[in-house]
Amino acid sequence: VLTVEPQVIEKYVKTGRAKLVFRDVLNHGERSARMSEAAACAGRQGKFWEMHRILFEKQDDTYATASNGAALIALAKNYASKIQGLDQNAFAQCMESRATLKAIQAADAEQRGRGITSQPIFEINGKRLFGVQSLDVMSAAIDAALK
Amino acid sequence: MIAAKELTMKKTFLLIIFLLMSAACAGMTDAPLPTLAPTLESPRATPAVIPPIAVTLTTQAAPPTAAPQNTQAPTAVAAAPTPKPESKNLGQGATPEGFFTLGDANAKVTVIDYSDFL
Repeated sequence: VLTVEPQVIEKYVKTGRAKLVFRDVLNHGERSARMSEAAACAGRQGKFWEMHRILFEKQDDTYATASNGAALIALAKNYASKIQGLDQNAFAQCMESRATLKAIQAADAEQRGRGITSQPIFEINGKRLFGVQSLDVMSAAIDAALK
Repeated sequence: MIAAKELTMKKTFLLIIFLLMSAACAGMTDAPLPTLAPTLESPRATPAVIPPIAVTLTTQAAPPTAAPQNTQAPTAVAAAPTPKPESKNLGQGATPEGFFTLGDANAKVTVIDYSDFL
């Protein structure tokens, strides 16, 4: 995510040839759910991709945090504090009320019914690629879809 | 006396002849010199030994120059698409289902990334 995705964005998204959609996969219990909520709560303020980047950069910190609501909310708030222009109070309220959880869980359930049970999985105009991919593989798939 | 005079005259004559010959020889040595000079110069100039040195230097200098060039090449390629209107196409949005998106909503290709943040 931190290496290939920026290159895909540079090559295809910035040039208007592709758009990127992120869909959460909940494979790590409470931590997965809380971090997905953090991204969604930031997204409510138009800052999803900023939080998305932080969450992937800080994966080690997230793993090292106790898997309980209070600790993970505190961690999410810490991540949120790094995002300029984010209303921290609104973010905290979103996290504490779990306002986005139901939608995230519903999407995960729907995806599992379609075989999305591991991560990452990429769908490029419907064509699936399972697992971490190199830029070459991603480029080949996107270029094929562009033809 | 006459014999002595004749001897002196002969000596003088021989001396003159010697001097003339010497002068002639000197003229002749001058003549080939210019011929020798170029001959000497050409081997020096020919020591196209210098050019090889220059070539060697160029070759030695080449690798470090070539390396950064190679490094710059991808940067240039990567930088190429950047000038296009980024802000317009890099907009954050959401699908009708509420999933967050990045890029032009009307882009020909949709890349869905199913991932866990862990």
